[in-house]
Amino acid sequence: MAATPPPHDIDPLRVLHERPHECASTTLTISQRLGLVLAAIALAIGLLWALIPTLVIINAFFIFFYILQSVYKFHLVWRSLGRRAEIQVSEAEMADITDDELPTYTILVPLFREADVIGKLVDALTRLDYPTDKLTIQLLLEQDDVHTTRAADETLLPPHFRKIIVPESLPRTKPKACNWGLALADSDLLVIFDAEDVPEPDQLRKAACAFRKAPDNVACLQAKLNYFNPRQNLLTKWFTAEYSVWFDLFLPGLTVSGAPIPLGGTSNHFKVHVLKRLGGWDPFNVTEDCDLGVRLHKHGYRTAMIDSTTWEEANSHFFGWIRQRSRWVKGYIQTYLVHMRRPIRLVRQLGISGWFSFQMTVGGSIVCFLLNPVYWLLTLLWVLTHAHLIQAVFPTPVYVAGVFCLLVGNFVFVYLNVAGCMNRGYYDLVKYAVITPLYWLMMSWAAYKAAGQLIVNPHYWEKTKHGLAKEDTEPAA
Amino acid sequence: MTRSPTDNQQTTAASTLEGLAVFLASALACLLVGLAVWRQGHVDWDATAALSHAFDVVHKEPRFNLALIGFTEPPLPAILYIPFCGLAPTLAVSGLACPILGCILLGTTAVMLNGFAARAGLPPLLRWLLVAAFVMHPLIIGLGAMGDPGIVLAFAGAGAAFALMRWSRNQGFRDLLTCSLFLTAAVLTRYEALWLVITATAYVLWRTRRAGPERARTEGTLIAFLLPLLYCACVWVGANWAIMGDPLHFCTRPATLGADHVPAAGRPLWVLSVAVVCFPALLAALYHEIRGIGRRLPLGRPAACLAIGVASGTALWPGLQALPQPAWSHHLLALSVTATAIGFALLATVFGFYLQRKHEPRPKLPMGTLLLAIIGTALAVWLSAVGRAPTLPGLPDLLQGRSALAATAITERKAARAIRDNPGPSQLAYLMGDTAFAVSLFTGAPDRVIILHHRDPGALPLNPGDLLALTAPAEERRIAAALRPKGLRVRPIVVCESPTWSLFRVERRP
Repeated sequence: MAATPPPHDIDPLRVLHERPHECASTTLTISQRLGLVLAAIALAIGLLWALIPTLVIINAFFIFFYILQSVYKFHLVWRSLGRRAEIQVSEAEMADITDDELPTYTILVPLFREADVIGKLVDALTRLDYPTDKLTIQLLLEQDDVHTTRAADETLLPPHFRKIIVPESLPRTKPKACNWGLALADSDLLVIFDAEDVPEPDQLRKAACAFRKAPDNVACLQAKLNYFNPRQNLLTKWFTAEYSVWFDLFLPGLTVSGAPIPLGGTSNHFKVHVLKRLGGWDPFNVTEDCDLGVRLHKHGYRTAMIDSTTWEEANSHFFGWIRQRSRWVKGYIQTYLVHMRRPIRLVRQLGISGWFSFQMTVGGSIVCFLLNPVYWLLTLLWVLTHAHLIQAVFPTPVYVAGVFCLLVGNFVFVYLNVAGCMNRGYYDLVKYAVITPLYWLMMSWAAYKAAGQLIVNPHYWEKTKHGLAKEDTEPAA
Repeated sequence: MTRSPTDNQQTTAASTLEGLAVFLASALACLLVGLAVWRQGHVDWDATAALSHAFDVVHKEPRFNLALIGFTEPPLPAILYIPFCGLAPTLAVSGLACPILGCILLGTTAVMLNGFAARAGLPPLLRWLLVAAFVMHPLIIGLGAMGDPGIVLAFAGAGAAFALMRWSRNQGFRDLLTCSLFLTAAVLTRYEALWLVITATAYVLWRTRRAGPERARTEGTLIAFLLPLLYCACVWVGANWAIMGDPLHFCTRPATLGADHVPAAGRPLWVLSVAVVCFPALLAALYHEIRGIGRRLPLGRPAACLAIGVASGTALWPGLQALPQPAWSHHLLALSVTATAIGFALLATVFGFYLQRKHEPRPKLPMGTLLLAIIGTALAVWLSAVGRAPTLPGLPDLLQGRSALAATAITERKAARAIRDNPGPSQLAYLMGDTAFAVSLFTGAPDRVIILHHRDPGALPLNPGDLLALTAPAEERRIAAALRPKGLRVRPIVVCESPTWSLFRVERRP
């Protein structure tokens, strides 16, 4: 099938042009820069004028933030363990809807340097149980990605597959490519899959049924993500435990509490007209999914979870994982900065509880990753030296809170990973979940890389290499 | 409406309002008894010791120092008193913190029992009667009114039993975690609760294997179940090592064994008699839930296993209960509390089993259950009558402050008042005596009090003007003799009429 050039009136940067205040093209606005400068000056004055009290205040703030985050995350996971938060769709309900009644669907698959996995991708998408006359699958190919385009040309594609060549332009990001695909989509619903994804065959039908059952303001459904190579090595085991907590427990807990959902980068099912109204994805945000989840909520729409899993490839390579995770953290920082440009308006748009959830979920992740090594170092120094300065910075209430974080908070986060494995049925991974503090070290490494890259190259997309999975495991049913 | 844990009948969960009403009623009843006891000037020594440690943590040094939590007894009771000491020191010094904590825990336990009884299928009136009987049980309300660590154990043991029963039915991870957390709390309250842990672990293992033979599932489930307990144990051992210099310091408690007063051959009967006196219907309930093993899985079987496990462990190895005093009330506390709390839960499951089948051909009450109910009741009455088992006080006695665990602390309070009213130049007071911790607490100024533990009198760091509080005249003579070579003597300031706690001032000899 020949590639279809896009119309000339497609604007993949609609968010920039129509909603610049919600676009990450600028990392920091002028007011944010001014705020940072003022904060830095205040900090410097505080440190010079009253060193210990200033450090105590900063320390107290972060420790109480840690406690809040621990309690909040545990609360969300606990709620998820107690009730099913996903929209449940039974086999009978799916059978009730005839093919004629099903909505039209578009699948966007952004591809860049994915020549090795095109074959598996086409197999996986061909297995989707959905009438092909109502389904359009767009393979979004970058103009200069010759190898992937050639691989796509050499693959026998069913008629409902379309190859879309995305013109070379900046920023070169996945959301920009998705915006091209969105502009060409004329279906009712739309979903994104990544190159290595293996969605459950009935996921589209399930999503269609779920949209029928859900309230009208539900504009997005997030399927669960997990990995088809969980046991490849220690890294994939940790990654799988983390994803099991995030998608099986944490996100469902967020949906129950009506909070904005930081979407996963794939298997997000959208109502096309809503997505187009919002201008699509922010092409400058490297976690466009998280950003879109917040924007949906700001504009009155909601995201729900469906009980369907898309199986992905867990990054099994250490430095590859660091690169991938650094992009995610960078994107979270971008998302946080974008939506905190107008903090008062954000409170009005998200509500107090939504705003709090945003701070805990997006802001809290950033803070924890960056601060963890600082506190680990402080604890080590205290044990070794009992330095008076450290003691002074931990007056009694802060000390009590710090001990709570150290002894209880850390255990809670470890146990959440255990809970994720148990809930998903990955019983053999439980013992590896117990040693996830080592995994946290990697997260902090990635976070610092992200912080640095945000300054020097904020829109650079760290491409994840796929096709490294050694385990040829079929996804569990 | 929720699906009943018993077959296919539907039950109704207790509403939030009902839970709140149960809590308030239970807590109020407990508080009334506690206040009656408190007005008598009575205390529970275990509770007071825990409260005293908590007060030291908050107030003994300029900074909060968790290392003063005490390493002789399990730490949880003292930890629970810390908020009182920090936020309302007056409640701690007066001793009111004990009945207040006790009533909160008793109320919460009552709510759990009420909720469980609702899910087991008991109608509202019956379950309220059950809860009322539990709350007014002399052992339970006595523990709650005094704030004894036993009420913490009752709360944790009951919670663990309820969670284990729910998990056994639905294999839900949340219930497994809940059970684990409650068991951890139980062990951190009384080490004897280790029998609960051992039994529960064995049950989890068996139940998981029954659900599926996969080794990974068993392994993962056991790790998830035991992880909170193992973590807390490691933290406790680490704290003992870091602060006391011995990782197993907590094991070196005085070995005055309650049940060691009973010969080894008689321990099983002693255990049985204590359990039956505390809950006469226990044997019948255990039999009802355990019988037919392998054929069906009654709701109450996990709890029954817990009770049997605690009883068996206690009979086999009472050495786990190293208690400083051989008072009957300390005998087999884990067993008596567990037997009582679990006994009421088992009653709920047994009644629920029959009440839920009123529309079916009603099953017959097994003859064994009926016989054991009669035998258990008769045994309890006979043992109590002949004095072969601990006697539980009646409610009138409780309301007059004669709780089984109550002891008078009037002289300790007098000594504390005397210390406050007679400060010395150094503002320090030295105490020697078994209940010195209570005197320290009642002064409200633990930073001014130093407790001496039977040291060589010659090595005491006494200076002119210091206060010295002693419990025995012999101690005064020893100290006076030791001070004479230093040119010092002790002059009595306050001498209590009871043979405990007199206050002396150290002076230079003329």
